[in-house]
Amino acid sequence: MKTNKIQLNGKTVSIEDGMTIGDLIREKGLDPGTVVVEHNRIIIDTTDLDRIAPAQHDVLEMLTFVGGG
Amino acid sequence: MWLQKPGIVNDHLVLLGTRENNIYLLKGDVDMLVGGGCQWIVRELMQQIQTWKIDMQRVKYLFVGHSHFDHCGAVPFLQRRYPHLQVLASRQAAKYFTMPKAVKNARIFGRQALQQMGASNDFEGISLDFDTIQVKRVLQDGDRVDLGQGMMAFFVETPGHSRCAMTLYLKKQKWLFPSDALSLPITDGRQFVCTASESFVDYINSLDRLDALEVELCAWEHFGLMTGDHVRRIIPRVKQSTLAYKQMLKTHVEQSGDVEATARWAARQWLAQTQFKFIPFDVMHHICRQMVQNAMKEKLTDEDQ
Repeated sequence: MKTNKIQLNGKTVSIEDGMTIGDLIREKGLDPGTVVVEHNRIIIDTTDLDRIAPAQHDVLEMLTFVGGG
Repeated sequence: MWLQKPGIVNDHLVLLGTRENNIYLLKGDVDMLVGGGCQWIVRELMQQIQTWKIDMQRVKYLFVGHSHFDHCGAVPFLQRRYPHLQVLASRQAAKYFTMPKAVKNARIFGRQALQQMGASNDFEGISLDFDTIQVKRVLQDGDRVDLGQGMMAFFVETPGHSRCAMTLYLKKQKWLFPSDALSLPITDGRQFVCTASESFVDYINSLDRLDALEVELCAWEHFGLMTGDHVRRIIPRVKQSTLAYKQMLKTHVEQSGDVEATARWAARQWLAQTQFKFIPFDVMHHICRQMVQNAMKEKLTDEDQ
């Protein structure tokens, strides 16, 4: 099985080729509605999360948030 | 790197206080304290001053980024102990510091926090009670203070968390001291606690202003300081997470039909994630209620129209 090495939140990880950002979010047990994703420094619209599959050496940032003041 | 444990960072910067509530020391020819902390950190702070041989006579200024009790609570004590300290703050903060009702509330919250944290109400015979703060210099947007040795502090008005908020920036060093004008990092630093409690519109506008600054080090007054790649992109990342958080609150209200329930949920979530024992639930609930109401009524993006 081909894998791609990507940078995820500053760490190198291997993911299956073809795996989408949406798959990655779900694999981490996160709700896509509470995650902001930056792919190669571009903020990804939530409607595109299941259409983009990171390639070798891509850089992903997954940002989450909680409420408060 | 994310440094949360108090210590000497380099020749010009010391992280003081506790992990949950920080104060910084900027060192030049003269020194400046950044952040007024909460009363309950005074014991640790005084211990650190002694252990790290900080010469308080060199500390000329005390910059208070905003007037919330966990960022100015220790100021009256510090002024009693070190009367030469010159307090710097925004015009709005200076006004709050002399308003009887605001002073009374800060005193109540400070006492509650001391009790909650198991700390006494004085340190070596000096009261930790909050009192009126006399601001020596009222800061305006764009003002600067030269500490010497290349340490030039710039001040930027950054309302949104509070009307009186100001951020300190050292241009040469690319160091940012946002107080609570920037959401707080938790867990792995990629999770943010939203601090847009006064106005989402003002908060986002403030972030847009800060986005023009290059940042190599970001020093919050909760959970310490961060350097590295993440921090270089911290402003746009906080902005996106804030927009998403606003939308989440809105969706929660639309689905539940209940602002109060959403505010209670947000307050519980916030306190569970930060573990801030010094903020009572009713205070956080009040803050979250305002944030939820703002999420419903303030217009920011096309989706909000």
